[in-house]
Amino acid sequence: MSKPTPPGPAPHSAPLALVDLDDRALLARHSAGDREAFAELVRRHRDRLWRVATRTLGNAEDAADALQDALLSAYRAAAGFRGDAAVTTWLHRIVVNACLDQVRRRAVRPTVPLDETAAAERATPDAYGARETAAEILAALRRLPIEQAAAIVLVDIEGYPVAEVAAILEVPVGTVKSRCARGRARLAETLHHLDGRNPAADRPVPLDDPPTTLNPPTTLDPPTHPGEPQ
Amino acid sequence: MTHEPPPGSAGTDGHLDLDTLAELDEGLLSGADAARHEAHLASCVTCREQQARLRATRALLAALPAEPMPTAVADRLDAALAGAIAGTIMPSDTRRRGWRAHPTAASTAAVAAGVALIAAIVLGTTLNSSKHPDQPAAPLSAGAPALDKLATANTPTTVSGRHYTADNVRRLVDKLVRAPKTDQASAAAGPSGAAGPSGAVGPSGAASPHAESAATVPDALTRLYSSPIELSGCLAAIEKGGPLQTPLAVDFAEYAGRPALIVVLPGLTSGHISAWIVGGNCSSANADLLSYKSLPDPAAG
Repeated sequence: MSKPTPPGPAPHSAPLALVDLDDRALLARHSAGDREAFAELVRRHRDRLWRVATRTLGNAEDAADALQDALLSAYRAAAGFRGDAAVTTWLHRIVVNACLDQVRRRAVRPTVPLDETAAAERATPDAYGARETAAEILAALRRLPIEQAAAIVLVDIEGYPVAEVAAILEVPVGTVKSRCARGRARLAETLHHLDGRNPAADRPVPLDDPPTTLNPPTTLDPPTHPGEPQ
Repeated sequence: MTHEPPPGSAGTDGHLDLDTLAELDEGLLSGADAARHEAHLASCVTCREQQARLRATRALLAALPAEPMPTAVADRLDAALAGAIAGTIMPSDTRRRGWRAHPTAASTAAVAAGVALIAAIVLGTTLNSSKHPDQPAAPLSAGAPALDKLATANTPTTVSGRHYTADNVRRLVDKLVRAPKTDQASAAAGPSGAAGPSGAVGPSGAASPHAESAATVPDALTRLYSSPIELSGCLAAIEKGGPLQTPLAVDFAEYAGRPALIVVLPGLTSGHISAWIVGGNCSSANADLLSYKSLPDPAAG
């Protein structure tokens, strides 16, 4: 055994603060009975998980439900975490599965009628702000089969590598690519009137928070999605 | 690779369809197919345009703005986790939509909110129906001392008959939510008969900001209009058994040409409101949802 040289205090000094621990160490603390460790893990990743849930489900209420279900089941399962996947992959998997369950349980997903008419009645595309554009994209996303929507959210919107998404969804890489391709083809059809509209150009319309203030993926690799190798 | 090329990979007109182009971009096609399609693309402007469209769609997706988790949701999750940690995990049926860690606390609060809501609606509808029948209902928030105790559950109900559409819903809801304040302001201006913001003056001389059209409740909505129990059932269905919130506004109107009830609720995201647009069949069993839109809260702006 080569001697590891972790940063931090010697074995018998005070334990590291939770915020200084990595995800696996937090889960280990959790398993050892530290009541705060899991909450810290959630705090660390919740904005990302929230984005995935809201975009997959399309509204805050459903997303909050799914996330609550997911985090409670993650909490219960955490002690059995095997460590054969990144903690974030595991958390994402639980959240995405909760979203899929939610959609399968619920026959009616709101906003579809509105957004269909929104597309049909749109008169002056120039009057669209970033918010409307985003709403329309998300509405189109909700009309995809949920498996395609989940793949698109993770790969194209969140920018996770295809291999990571395959691990989250527990399907082969080729399946992720195929779902993305089909989903994109449908979206391109639905959103054709947004052609040439660069949402970045719409950014001056004030949004609540610029996306740059959000936590970037920390454990996952940076997005490199165009032409992702297998 | 289990992928099979779709039957119409080259469309009937000889062009590549979007599915094929997307698969080509994703490297899902066999070498021979890919080469054949690339050759076609090199000589076909139409297909190159389609390919550009597909790629523009990806760019749109990548540029979607993100919003952080709202504080209300973060608090809810913290509470749920705290409950789990304290060993009071709710059974999964009752846990759904529970905003509190303890089930009895959550359900008690929901019942209390429901009672307050029904009370407010009963009062509201009574006041409404005591007005001149030909006068559009004014918001109930202004100048009703009897409602003071229920201030938080005081639902401004209007019968605007406005023609909401997907395009104007944001503007009209904005107007609807702002209206009570405007009403108070113009009422305070005295009985001079001054016109309200929309230029209408009610028979009594009081400004009626909602008198954009002298609306009567359409038949399809009379059940909801005349029965507070029916209306509260409908509101409960909209909130899907969640914590009953007092609507910021309820408007009997039209959506996309159909009689519709516009229910504006506080959004989960701070600074946002939710417009739930339901049809006349809205009941406790089924919200009859026509559409939904999350909007920025005009009060926050």
